[in-house]
Amino acid sequence: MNKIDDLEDLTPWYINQSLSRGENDSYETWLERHPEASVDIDLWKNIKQTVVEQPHLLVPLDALKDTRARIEKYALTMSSNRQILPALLAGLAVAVMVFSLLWFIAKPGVTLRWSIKGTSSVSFRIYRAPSGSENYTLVGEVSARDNQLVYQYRDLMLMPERAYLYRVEGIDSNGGVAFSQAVASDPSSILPGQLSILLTSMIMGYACLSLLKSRPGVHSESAKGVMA
Amino acid sequence: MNREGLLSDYMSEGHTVESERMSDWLLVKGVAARDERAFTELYGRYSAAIYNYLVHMIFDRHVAEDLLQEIFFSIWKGAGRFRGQSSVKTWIYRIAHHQTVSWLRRNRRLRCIKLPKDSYPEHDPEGIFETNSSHQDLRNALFKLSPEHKEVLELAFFHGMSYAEIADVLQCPLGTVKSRMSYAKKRIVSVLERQDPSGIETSKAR
Repeated sequence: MNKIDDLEDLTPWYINQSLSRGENDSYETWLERHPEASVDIDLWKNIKQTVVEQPHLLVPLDALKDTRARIEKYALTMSSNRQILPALLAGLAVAVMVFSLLWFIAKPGVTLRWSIKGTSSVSFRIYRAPSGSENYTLVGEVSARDNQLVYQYRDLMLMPERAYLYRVEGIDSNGGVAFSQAVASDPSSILPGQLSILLTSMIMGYACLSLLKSRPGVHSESAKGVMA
Repeated sequence: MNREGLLSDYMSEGHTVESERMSDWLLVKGVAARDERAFTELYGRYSAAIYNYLVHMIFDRHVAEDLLQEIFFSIWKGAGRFRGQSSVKTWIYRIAHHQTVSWLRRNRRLRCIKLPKDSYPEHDPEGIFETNSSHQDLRNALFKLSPEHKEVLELAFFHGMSYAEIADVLQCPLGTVKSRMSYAKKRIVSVLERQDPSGIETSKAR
């Protein structure tokens, strides 16, 4: 810091008396050796005086009031948002729970039932293809049980209003395979069930959201604490 | 110790929020705790200085008032994040600096303001700067500085900041502050010489 070049750069702060004691002493020692710097000091003093002579304005009286109003408005918005988020999450959770429960109970979809005559089969594979197509894809597998002759499989992952073809493949203990005949599903039986479950869960979720949002005193209480 | 603890300890010693001795830091902690008295006290301490800084940098009282609100709104929002790594004073000035720079950028005034000789009233339509200054020539030269060079003069002389404080406000190295100051002086001398070759000597002689 005490290099000569640096000391010359400190002149403005020597003028405004903001140098540390050590810097000030070093600067004054440097100044004694460089009397020509007094011209520079005079110029800096004039610059300082010009800057200081700029108007000293009073803050408009309404500024604080307006700032407070802005803060209150912001706080109210934040408070409202903070209240909505848990209500939104709760509504969503209720909707998901209702949907899962109803889906589990009603099982809207296609139910395939088939029976076997012997007990040689060890498992069954269920294949599905869009109606009018032969592109069967495996959608599920059911294991055979001792002495059980009737089986069923529910296919829930279906697009409403679309018909499908199903085939069941039986596999015996020797690796032999036997296919059933293709059967077509009834598309009109799927949509009402799926739609009613979806709508019911949405209504329940929205009702929960509305109930939590409309709890009395929530917003006003939060707003009171903004600048208390 | 948490901020509530600090405040309550301070209050229990018989101090009031209005006390002048209450440190800026405690006031900021009070603002973070949403204490309106602390906010009002902090506003009272700094609003005038910041308002004048804004008017001197922007030349428009209405914009300065809007920015002042914006700055104290930012202080209210950011008080909880203030960790005391710098002084409250430089923190507040830094917010003011950023707001000013943003406004100047938006309004394309960050470039050097080049005004014809004696044209400062055109740049000061409100007549804010019409004072009985004995340094008319210097005042004109001051108007011709770029905002970044005007700013170091403003902070050093009007607000009495050390070079370290200015570096903290502008978040730049100490050398940059000194070089900006040095350039500001050279620019002023250059303008004075162009306005009146003898003016610089007159100015020096005063």
